[in-house]
Amino acid sequence: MARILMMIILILLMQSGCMDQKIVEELGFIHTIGYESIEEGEDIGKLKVTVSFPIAETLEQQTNTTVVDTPRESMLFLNQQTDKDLVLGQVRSILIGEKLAEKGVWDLIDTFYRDPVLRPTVKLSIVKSSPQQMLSKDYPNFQMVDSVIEELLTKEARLNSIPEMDIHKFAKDYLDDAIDPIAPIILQTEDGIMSEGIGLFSDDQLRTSLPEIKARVFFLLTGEFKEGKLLIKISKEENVIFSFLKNKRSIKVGINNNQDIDVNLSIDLKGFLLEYQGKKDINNEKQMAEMEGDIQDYIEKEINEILEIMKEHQIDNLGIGKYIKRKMDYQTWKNLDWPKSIDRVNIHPTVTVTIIDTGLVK
Amino acid sequence: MQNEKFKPFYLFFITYMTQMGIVFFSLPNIIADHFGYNGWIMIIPISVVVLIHIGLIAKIYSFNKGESIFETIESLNSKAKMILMPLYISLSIFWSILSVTIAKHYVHVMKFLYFPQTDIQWFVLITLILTFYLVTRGIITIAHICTIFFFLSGPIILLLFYFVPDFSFLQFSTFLFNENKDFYGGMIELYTAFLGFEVILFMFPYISKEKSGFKYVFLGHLYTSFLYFIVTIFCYGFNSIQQLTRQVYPVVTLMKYIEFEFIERLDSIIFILFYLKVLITITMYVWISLVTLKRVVKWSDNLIVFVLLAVGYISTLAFVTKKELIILLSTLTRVQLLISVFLPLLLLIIIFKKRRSNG
Repeated sequence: MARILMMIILILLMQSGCMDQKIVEELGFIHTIGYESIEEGEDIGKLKVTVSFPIAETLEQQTNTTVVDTPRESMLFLNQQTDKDLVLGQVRSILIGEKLAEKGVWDLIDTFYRDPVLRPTVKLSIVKSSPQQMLSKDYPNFQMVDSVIEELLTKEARLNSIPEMDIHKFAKDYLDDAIDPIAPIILQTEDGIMSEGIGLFSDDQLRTSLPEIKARVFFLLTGEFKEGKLLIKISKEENVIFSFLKNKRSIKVGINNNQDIDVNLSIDLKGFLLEYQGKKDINNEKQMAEMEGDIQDYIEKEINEILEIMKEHQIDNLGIGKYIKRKMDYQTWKNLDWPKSIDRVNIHPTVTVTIIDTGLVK
Repeated sequence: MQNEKFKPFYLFFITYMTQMGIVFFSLPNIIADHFGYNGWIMIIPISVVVLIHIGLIAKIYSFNKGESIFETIESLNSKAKMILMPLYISLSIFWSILSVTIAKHYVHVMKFLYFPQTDIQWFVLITLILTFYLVTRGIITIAHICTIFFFLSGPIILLLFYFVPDFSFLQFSTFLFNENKDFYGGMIELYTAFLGFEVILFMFPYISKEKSGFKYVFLGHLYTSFLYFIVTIFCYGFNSIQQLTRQVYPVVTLMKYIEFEFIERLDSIIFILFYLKVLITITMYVWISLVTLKRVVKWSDNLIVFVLLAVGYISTLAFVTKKELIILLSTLTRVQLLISVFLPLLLLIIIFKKRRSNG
């Protein structure tokens, strides 16, 4: 009797494996979702949602678009347009139209962040122009644009021209009171896509952007730039490509009588000179020292420009606030009302450049 | 069965497996929510207080010389049994309700996070059948199974320490306990996260006597504290504090972030393996309610366990939503906290009284 009972229980336990059944062929694994706000026409103010998902049989991607009021509603309508059962478990990236990003994106990201099905590593990027056009256009060079976008984002983030931003990091920086979030910007070109630098947010609204060359300097400031190349335009005739091997960054904060906050940003760079166009003799030690000075001046100028942009928009995407926060007690920090008070902070960047080598040719 | 004993080192596994529960996944959120900035520091003092609490139990063990605590209580007065009987019955019913609630809470979270089509009642029923088999096998088997389950589910947590994504000391800041809500409530909440060690009280007759055998209970507790501490530190460095107060299960998010080339979504594996830990917790509480009820009725073990589980199952049947379950669970654990504080104190008073009257 006991044995029969055990058998029955065992069979019942095995049966529980069949409870949550999902057949892969019947599912449409959404790869990329694009959101944009509609700016004109009768649907003005509504959301246009585009999803792309791969079709296993043809190795091609399919895109569907719908117009809705709220982000989650879109899944219902999109599901009606296809024979597949659309699921969110494999979403890799979210594209947000520039206009929508300017209005604020937190509601959107919150929906994703709340959902246990989605991963926190879903990539986030801002699209100049329209995500729908970007996803549904036929490109001569690649079949599945959604996975190309994902790979482009990963690669460019590794090369430090755009930030690696996912919904977890965005939520982290958005909710933190000492830093404002950033996101990569991508662009649709004639026959492909390209990355376009960093979008700077104030709270959850896109305020301004940094082009790619400034973006690299931005990453020097955050200390994330460990290795890579930097194009330096000293003057119209002089161009240098500098390859970093080492980047040390330190931030020191000094506070005097609570009114003046001094931030000393020091960046120490060591690297190779890869390419040089200009009149200087790169084998002459004196002229090399001059060149180091020129590169320093150039980077400092770029840094000051970035700081000016941040001060103008009263944003702190670098996270300087985190360093200031460490030097203060709680009440002073709350009274500071960061990052609106970034104007009051004096930031002094100092850059030291050392050229280790100039290449194989004398 | 009655005279069989197990080696004291099993106490390490029993203590750890009973203490650690589903609260592991939400602990950093509870701490951040109640203590605010750098709240992880609070784990240390609370853990020390629990250590003292376990010290009390160790004291009772050494006074009792392996005698069951029921005999200690009943030896005070032969007429005391009249008062004790209803107390025993209510305690054992309480523990069976507590264990079914723990099971239900786990299944609820599992349904929400991973298997949305799971039928909660059905899954709880299966869990209870497993519990029935475990409990009726006796404490020796439970201790052995505890050890096996420990090695099945324990090492995978260590994966966390191997690969910590995006950790930054900058997130800690220098503020201490600012933005805290309900500091004292948080202390109680954190204390209940450590509960489970009190089941050792009922195991005295089954522990084979060895010198300093009780140290394994302390070690088990220290291991739990270590895991709680490390995981909270990781979460504080991985999230911003404001974000931590918003996430219900920060440890699940932390684990979701870990991606290897060959596997991702490790959180589901770890969470499902946690079922083994939850099963042990439930089993331990049902077992102590079994030994308590045994003092009152002369039924067979099978019947008692069946009745207890049935009572527990039926009385929690009405609690369905997450909110109801959490309120029920936190009320029950608070009561359990009181029991685990007053029971050892009561025992110590009885022991001292006996010693004085004996001269």
